Amino acid sequence: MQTSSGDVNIFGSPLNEKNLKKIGYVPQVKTLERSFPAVAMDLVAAGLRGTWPGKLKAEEQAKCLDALSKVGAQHLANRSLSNLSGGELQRVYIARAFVREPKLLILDEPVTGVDHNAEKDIHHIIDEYNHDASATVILVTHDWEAAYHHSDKVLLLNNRIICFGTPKEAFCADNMRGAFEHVGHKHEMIFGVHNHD
Amino acid sequence: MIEMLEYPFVQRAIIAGILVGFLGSWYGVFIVQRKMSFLGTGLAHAAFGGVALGLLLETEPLYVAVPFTVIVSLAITRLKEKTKLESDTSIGILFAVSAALGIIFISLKQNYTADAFTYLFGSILAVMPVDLFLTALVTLLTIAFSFKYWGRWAYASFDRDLSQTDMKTIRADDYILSTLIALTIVVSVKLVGIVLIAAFIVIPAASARLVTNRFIRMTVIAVVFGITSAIAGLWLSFELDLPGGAVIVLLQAVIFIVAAIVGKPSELE
Repeated sequence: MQTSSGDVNIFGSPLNEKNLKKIGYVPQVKTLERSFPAVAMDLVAAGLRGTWPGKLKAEEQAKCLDALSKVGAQHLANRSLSNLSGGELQRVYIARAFVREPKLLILDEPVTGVDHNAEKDIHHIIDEYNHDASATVILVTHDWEAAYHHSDKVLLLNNRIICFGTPKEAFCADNMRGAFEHVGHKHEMIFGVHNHD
Repeated sequence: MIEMLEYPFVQRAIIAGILVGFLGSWYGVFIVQRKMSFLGTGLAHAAFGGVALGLLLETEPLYVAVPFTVIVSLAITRLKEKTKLESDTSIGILFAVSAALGIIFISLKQNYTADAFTYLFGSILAVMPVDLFLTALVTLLTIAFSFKYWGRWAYASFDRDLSQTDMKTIRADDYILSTLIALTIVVSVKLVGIVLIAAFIVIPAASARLVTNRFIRMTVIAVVFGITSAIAGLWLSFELDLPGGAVIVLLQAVIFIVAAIVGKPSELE
């Protein structure tokens, strides 16, 4: 993507192929070519190398398996990507982001198209990484409940910045009306009532 | 067969066969996975335009065909990038224009038929030292570039958008790949023939795809299929006195059928 104005720096240095590796990214839309011959291990190793892998060294293999086990997908290592379900594929993509041990993890709608149990699981995995690796996690989501429970700071956007603050500040009724363009009646926010584990 | 190896033209044909068998299948895996099979046909006809111009100018046809085909291949990549046209449309246009030019160039030359037929259908007798030299050069270029680019081309073939989050020069990578594919097609023309080149490049890769679910293995298996079918095809064509390119492609088709039968469909869904 081209920047339209200004500069993009990562941890203080400009963008290049080397420091792109400091970012772990999980795209929302999986644009993979389904007929491409690849197993889960290949995709994770691509995250490690920043290019498509040929033969893997033992240590690379160990790192990839470790990343896959962090997302509970070690058993998928040698499965064809074309045979994986949406949830399984999402775990492999998260492992691909984890394997490079990024200090910045960006996830775009990570639980879209994933069943309820897997959804809870994936949020748990992300929270754990956030904690264990003391990494910054940027989570893009339309699911305000997930944003409320899983973030320290929320940036609420609707064409413009509506609010940037703690979840409590961000999700006040006024801001929600601004973000979701409800007019005329007040919605009862469910955050206070709902308990989250 | 062994005594035939004493003839220099047989030696040249065999070496050329091994090299183009390698080159065709090596790039074939990218062509197959990027769904660009039609590119082979298009570039082969561009090569025909270049060869015809070379014949008309009474120079070594390859010296004209090489730049001609490379330019057409870059134009195809550029058109695809710049317009909303699908690549098969831009290939279809440039392919017909090149072929039309070729036909006019050939018709302008009075004593044309024999030479032109060599290029259209391929001839194992026609491989000259200069052809071998150019083929070896393209092979060296291929080996030199592949250390860095095999993984990059593969990544972009797997998922173009995702690969862009790791690689910044993906457009330049595409142009390099197009150029090397164009060069491969031009140097394969004399042995295989313009009419058969697309199949010659696609079949080993497609067969390899049917028997594995990893791209690295697909590449290696395709190259093994490409080289063995070239050697066996040339040997059969000497023994049976049949055109080399046609025999090679038919042998590849046999490999493809066997691969389709023994391939593991569960891996390929």
